[in-house]
Amino acid sequence: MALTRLSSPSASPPRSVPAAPTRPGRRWITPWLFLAVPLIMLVTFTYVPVANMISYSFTDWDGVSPDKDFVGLGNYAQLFTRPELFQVFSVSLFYLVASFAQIALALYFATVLSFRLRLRNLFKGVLFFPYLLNGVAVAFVFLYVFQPGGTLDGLLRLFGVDAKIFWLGDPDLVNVSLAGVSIWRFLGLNFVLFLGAIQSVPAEIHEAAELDGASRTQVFRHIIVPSIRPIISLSVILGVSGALSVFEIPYVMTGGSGESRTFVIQTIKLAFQFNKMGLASASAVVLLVAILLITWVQRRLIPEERPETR
Amino acid sequence: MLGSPSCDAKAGDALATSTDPWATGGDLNVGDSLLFDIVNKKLSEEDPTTTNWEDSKGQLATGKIAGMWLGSWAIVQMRDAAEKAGKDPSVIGYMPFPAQVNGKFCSMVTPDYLYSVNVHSKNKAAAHAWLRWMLDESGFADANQAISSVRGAPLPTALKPFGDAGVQLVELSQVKAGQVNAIDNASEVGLNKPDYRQRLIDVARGAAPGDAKSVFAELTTRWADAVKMGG
Repeated sequence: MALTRLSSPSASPPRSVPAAPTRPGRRWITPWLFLAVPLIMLVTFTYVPVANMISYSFTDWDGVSPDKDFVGLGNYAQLFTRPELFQVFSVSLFYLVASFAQIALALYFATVLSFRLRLRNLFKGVLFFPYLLNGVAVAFVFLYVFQPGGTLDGLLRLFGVDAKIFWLGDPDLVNVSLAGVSIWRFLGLNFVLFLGAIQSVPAEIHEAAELDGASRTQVFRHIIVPSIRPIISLSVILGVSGALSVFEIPYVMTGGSGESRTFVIQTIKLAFQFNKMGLASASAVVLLVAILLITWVQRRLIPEERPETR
Repeated sequence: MLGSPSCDAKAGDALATSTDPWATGGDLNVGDSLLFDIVNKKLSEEDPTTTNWEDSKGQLATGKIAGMWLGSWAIVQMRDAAEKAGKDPSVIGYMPFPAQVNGKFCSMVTPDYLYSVNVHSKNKAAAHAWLRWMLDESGFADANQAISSVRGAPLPTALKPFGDAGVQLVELSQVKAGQVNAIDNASEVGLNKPDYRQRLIDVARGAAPGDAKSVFAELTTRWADAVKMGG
């Protein structure tokens, strides 16, 4: 706030500065010229494909044929009258729970590592590293980890647990295993976001709290959490939309077989296995709307309070 | 799998009008039941979700795996893997589908129907010349141990035991392949896709509810509905 107040007077005077004579009518074009390249790319690679997808969702296009017939809301009607197509959303619940666990864990690590600790930079690197790995590589690595007699079983044996567990083969366990991989992979991102936010809290506040004799839990509850609330709510939004659109990890590891099929995997299969591009586009539109809706509801329920306006 | 148990060249085309493709004794029923029984009697790997294709090739050569249900395209890879595992590549060979009609095994042959020259091509002569080279000179069929598309060409050496044992090679008719594909897609069954057989395997190993009958019944309903709707 203070910064903007300071800078706004200096932003308006260019008129008073004796600059080179320019025709004032041309002025507005300059920022648009700078924006043109990113805007063109955004429109070409995001908005045009989305518009195409929405238009496909009203047709029976098979993905290759030069002609497609308009079927109106037929694809949507089919989507909403076939409960098995929506059942797969229950798989997302596993990832939703996982994303909350992930946020809690990331918050814990970020708080702990924001205090002065030995080897804290090493731990920061260790926690962030999985996020740098490619998702497909992560999935392949964990295929070996989850093999019967593989890395995980071997590790458990060191602790005396000698059970043969089918981490991916057991239908009750497969989504837990996959969600675990997802936590491992995305923890680093949440962690870095939280750490950055925590470190932006002015040191004086921490010092003052320390002088007043606040304990670390009190510092966490009354200083850290309120000051990083926007980041937490962002993480929750990302977590929910991520849980609804899980794809990479289950697709590479199980091919979406059995219980591990997610909505996005189902969409891909409809589009590219059974050539139902129209129905798949309708699914994608439904997913998009669902995510927008959930985000909107969430923003209404937990309004974002700006720490500066208090 | 289609055609091999019944020795029927029209097995594929019949699906275009069949409302009961998994009927007892039919090709799909025989083949899928065999798969179900193999898994159900624990004759296959314990955990089918973590198998590894590259490792399995070596295990076939060393005898850890007795047999794999594959198309002829796999034999070259398997023989390479056998050599790497220190075995004689000739330990890898074909076996016909274990069902006989009139005392004879049958094996289906799928034609290379994808070789063609586009009528709209501006370079028909070049396309034709490339096709001739592909078929006559490239040695492609030989390298893949495939049956050459050239009329009168000898069978690949890997198939010689088939000739000796009197296995009948039957070319699967593709007359209604387009219609069958349309039904396959509309019903979301996926005859040549992994999904429904993954489900069958899950049911067989007790990881999903039901039995072979219920899986076949569900597939049949979907197929029959698609046939009735005309694909």
